[in-house]
Amino acid sequence: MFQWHDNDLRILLILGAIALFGMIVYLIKHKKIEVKYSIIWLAFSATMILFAVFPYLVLVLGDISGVANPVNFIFMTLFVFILLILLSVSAVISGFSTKIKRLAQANALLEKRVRELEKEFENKGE
Amino acid sequence: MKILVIIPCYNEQESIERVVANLKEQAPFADYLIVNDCSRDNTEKILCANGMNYINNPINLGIGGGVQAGYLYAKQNGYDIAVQMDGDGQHDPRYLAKVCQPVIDGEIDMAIGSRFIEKEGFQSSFMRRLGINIISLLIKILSGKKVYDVTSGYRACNRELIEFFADNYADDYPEPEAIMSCVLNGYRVGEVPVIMEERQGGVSSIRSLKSAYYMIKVCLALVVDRISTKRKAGKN
Repeated sequence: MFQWHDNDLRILLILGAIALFGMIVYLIKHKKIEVKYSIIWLAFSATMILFAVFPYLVLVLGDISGVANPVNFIFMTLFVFILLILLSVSAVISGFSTKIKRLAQANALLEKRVRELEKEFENKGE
Repeated sequence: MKILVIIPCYNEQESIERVVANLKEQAPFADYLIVNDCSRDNTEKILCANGMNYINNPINLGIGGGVQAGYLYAKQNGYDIAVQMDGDGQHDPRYLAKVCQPVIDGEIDMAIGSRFIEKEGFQSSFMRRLGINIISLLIKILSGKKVYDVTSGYRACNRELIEFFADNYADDYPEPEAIMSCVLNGYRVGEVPVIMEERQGGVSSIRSLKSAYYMIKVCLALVVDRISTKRKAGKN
């Protein structure tokens, strides 16, 4: 019967982490993600690759932090990174909403000036 | 002394004409600017057909962003006093001069038209008054300043505050937050008794289903304002 071994899991983790890293690099290269927003993603995938290549790290860190099952330590790290990324997304969105508001207000004031100029222009033409 | 009346307006096709006609009659000394916050009804057509002075927000910014556009306009066009007045006919322009007076005299920086000082006219429903009292108490605790009609959108402010509001104005439910940030930044806030009408048309921006969200959001925003603003020694 087929059984998963620690090594299979490790290979899967390596492949997954490399795929993630590849996708992030691809997106940065094609300017789909700005560098400043990609830093946390790069840190995330680098950590995952590190864990996959040196499982000893996971064992030691798991022991230190008192996590019973090493794989749970990986899950915990994953979760922390996802939370950080979500928080940073909220912050980025808030920044955008302020900027959009400013743009809309400037646009509204400009539209009024253009409307009035056009009217003045029409009146002069007659 | 240049006075600008900012009238935020969202789907007010029934009342906006009357509001402006009233204003021109009662307060001919003031200019006005209607901020059409991307209304979906015929408001814009009415504004255009009557040759009113208005701006159109390209997207719906909500009352805060809309009013702030008005303050930006006041700042750019060198107005000394800006008065906010709702577009639904709740605020009687008869009291405009009265609301402006303490600001013109330099007694205070912002004057709020309050319906709870002399308790005359439309007093709002019990639940609303309860909510207003809670917010009022919270502002008193956090800033030390007692303001009764914290949600009143009838308010006048001077040049200094026009410039302040053009840069800092809260988004969705800005009235209580504006009071809070004024007091914390050292501006003097006061109330002037006025009589308010029931709205003539349109719907309030605070509806029953949203009121719980409103209370939570406003209370949280006030606390956040308190912890994020370093209190400035002002003219108080």
